[in-house]
Amino acid sequence: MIEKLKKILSNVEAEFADIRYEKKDESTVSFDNHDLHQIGNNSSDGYVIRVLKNGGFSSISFNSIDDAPKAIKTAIENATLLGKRLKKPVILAKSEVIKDSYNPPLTEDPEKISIEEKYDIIKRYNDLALANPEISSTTFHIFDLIRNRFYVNTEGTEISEKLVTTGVSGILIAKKGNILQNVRVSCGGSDGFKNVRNQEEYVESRVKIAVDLLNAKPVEGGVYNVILNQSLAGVFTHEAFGHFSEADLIEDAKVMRERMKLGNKLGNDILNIQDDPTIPHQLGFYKYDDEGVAAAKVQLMKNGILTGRLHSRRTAAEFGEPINGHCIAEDYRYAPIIRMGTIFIEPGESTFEQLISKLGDGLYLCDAKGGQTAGENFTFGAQYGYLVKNGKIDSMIKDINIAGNLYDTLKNIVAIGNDLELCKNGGCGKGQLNIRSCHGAPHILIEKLVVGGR
Amino acid sequence: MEKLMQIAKKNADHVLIRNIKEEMTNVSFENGELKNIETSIASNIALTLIKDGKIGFAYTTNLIDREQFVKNALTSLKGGVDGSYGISNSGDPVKLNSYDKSIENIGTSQLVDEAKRTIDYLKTKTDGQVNLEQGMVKEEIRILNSNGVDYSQKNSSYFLYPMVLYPGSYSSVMRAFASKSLKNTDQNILDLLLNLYNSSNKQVCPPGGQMKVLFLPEAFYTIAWRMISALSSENAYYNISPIKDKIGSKIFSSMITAYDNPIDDTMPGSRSFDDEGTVTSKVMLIENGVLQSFYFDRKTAKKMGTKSTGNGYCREISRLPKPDVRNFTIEAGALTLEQMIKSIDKGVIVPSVLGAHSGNIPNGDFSVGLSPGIYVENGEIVGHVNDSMVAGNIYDVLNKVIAIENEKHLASMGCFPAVLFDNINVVMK
Repeated sequence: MIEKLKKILSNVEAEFADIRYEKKDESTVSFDNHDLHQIGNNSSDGYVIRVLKNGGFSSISFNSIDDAPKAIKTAIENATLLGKRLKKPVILAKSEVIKDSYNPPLTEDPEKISIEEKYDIIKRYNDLALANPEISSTTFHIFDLIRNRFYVNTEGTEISEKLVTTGVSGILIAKKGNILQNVRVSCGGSDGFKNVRNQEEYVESRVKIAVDLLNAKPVEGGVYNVILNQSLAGVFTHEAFGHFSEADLIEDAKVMRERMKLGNKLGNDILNIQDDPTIPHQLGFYKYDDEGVAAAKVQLMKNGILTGRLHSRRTAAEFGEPINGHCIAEDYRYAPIIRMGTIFIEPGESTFEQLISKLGDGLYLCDAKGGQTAGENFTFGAQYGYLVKNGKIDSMIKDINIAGNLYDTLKNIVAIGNDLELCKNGGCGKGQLNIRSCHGAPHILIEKLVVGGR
Repeated sequence: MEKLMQIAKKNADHVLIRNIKEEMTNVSFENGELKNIETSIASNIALTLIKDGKIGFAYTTNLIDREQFVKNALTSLKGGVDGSYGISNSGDPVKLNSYDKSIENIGTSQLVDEAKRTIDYLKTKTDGQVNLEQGMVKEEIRILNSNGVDYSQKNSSYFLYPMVLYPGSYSSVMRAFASKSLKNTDQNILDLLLNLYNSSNKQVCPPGGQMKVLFLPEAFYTIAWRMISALSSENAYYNISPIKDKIGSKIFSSMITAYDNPIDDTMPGSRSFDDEGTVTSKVMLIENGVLQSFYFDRKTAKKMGTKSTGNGYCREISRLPKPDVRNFTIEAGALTLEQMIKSIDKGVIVPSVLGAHSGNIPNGDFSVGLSPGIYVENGEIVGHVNDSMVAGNIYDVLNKVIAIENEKHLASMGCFPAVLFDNINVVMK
């Protein structure tokens, strides 16, 4: 395949070009309640070519090798057009020439597991959930998704890498009269099929939360001091900070770019945040990004001060900052964009008991339920939570959505736990879906958080 | 495709083949300047086999080995997924004017020129930052089955979304302009955005509380999403829809009429047949607040003892069909947008939201950040609010409709007028 790609690239007349070919193998079994909805193994494939010509940089994706000449012609035309009209010519930061082939170490290769066994596992989890009389409906889905990726560029880089993602995801809906509550179930990883086995206890714990939520009170909207659990604090980090650290999102927003200048103090002294896709056995692990750049750890924030940013080769040149291999695509349909790898708040000193005691009166909020960022503002949802009175966990609350602001919220993190956890199943939508977007944190205590309610 | 059909027919009782080809060009401008041009040429095939009432499924991009592809579908068949609902019979799809041939002669430089012209107009009239997304899509869909269905349709679409951004954020006012081929951006859209933005330039911090809320079409998907969820026959069947037993009952204000209209070919994206090869039609869902029908695919229709309404669609080529809407529409009302704004004593206009995707969608609950909130006092826009949230439940809120705009606009999740609600809780920091 590498030789085939080199041959295609040899027909591109430009300052720089790269080509990425991927064969995507997907195995899936999904249930809607007791009904098996879909089962099967499938393969699909395609190419993405990027061309830099006369200062313009354009990409094209296509499925059929027969379309390669037409695709190259179009990419060159578009790059040339951009070159004429762009305010500033595109420059790509220098990157090492790499020749490598990488297969991740796996505990159980999902490709060697029969689909019947995958069916048995997901059916077991599904039946477990449906056995509870207050669970009125479920969707459950087991999948493994393998990206066989081949990358070549005109500088001489030749990389092949396999990315194996396994997962179980589902939604449990509990019902009592007219009240419906839903809870997400998710687990998985990047290092083998074992990540989806033996999750019965986990599924049971999710069922319990869904059922307990039926009796929980909706939270009253207002401003609160809050402890976020690891899952929720991880999403918080992703939405409240991670996206602003993606160079492409702030590149053309003058005010945002000023505020996110390296050296600016954005958070409390105790706050340290990093993104490190090189940590093995985590969902967010990868060796090389989709531009052939080696993945690197980035210290995004140290003692509340901005110290790093996530870059592609193009934005690294634009900002005059180092490249760090954070340019990723979902699959063969897309050109890569800047993505988080494994982003997390570094653990601090406090135990959970110390945090709750310090909180006194407030809320303890748990588990992520989606989030969104736009400019300096972000929102994210919590699956469930508890009132905390006098340092003691009290009744359960629900329907919790939180709004925040980049500049205030990070400064209001007043205490950080010592119990870091990283998520097992991810999903970040930024035009394309990154299922390996990993985030995490320890428990954190934030003051003055705006919580939406009725 | 015919050869594939022949091989597949030897192995199954019923066969359905779905072939979709799409060519797309996307242009983006940021801060008034050309940023990126991306193209994609995609081709996808899906194969469904039904044998002894069970269904097998396979999909791919390049059909290199037909026998192997059929084998993949047969392996999937062993899973025992219920396929007793079978495939559609041949019918008479409406002939839609969904393809404007002139799109074939539109070059990328013409797109860029029109985008630049639009941006230049906006920049002469506002200090706000202007971003813009623009695109052109040519699509060809073909569905054939072993009952003699062989439908194909070509679609062309052109769209342009200008956005004016508030300082220091991605809060914005925006509106989509869509057509079947390249056309000059509608001046009315640009003037509306300019008016909304310039009059709300000042940041204000009013107190929160119960007030009027005017959802613009671009933010209405917050509510539409939950309506679409409740109107899905699948959700009704699985007891997740709160309106499952309410056919014939009044569930919303009598001002609300909602339907799916895939055969409206004045807009791009029309479909005369769904992804199961069922002929489509306008499907009335809510009429004057009264629930008329859910929308059905073949599978759910069979389970509920009725017929498909032509609403079986595949979210992605890799998925089997599920009930889905194609052109979810809220019928226009009586007032102009100006009249609606003038009628607000105290309230917010919502041009854009954050977080509509989280929350208890099946239940109808929503809690969204306003991005931004445009604050109105005594019928006049006084400024914009950051850090505010609106929460509610659509079964409450859609009974508090006081006015609906007299024009519909293409927006995320469908085609909507602006809708004014009374007495909604808005949290301001």
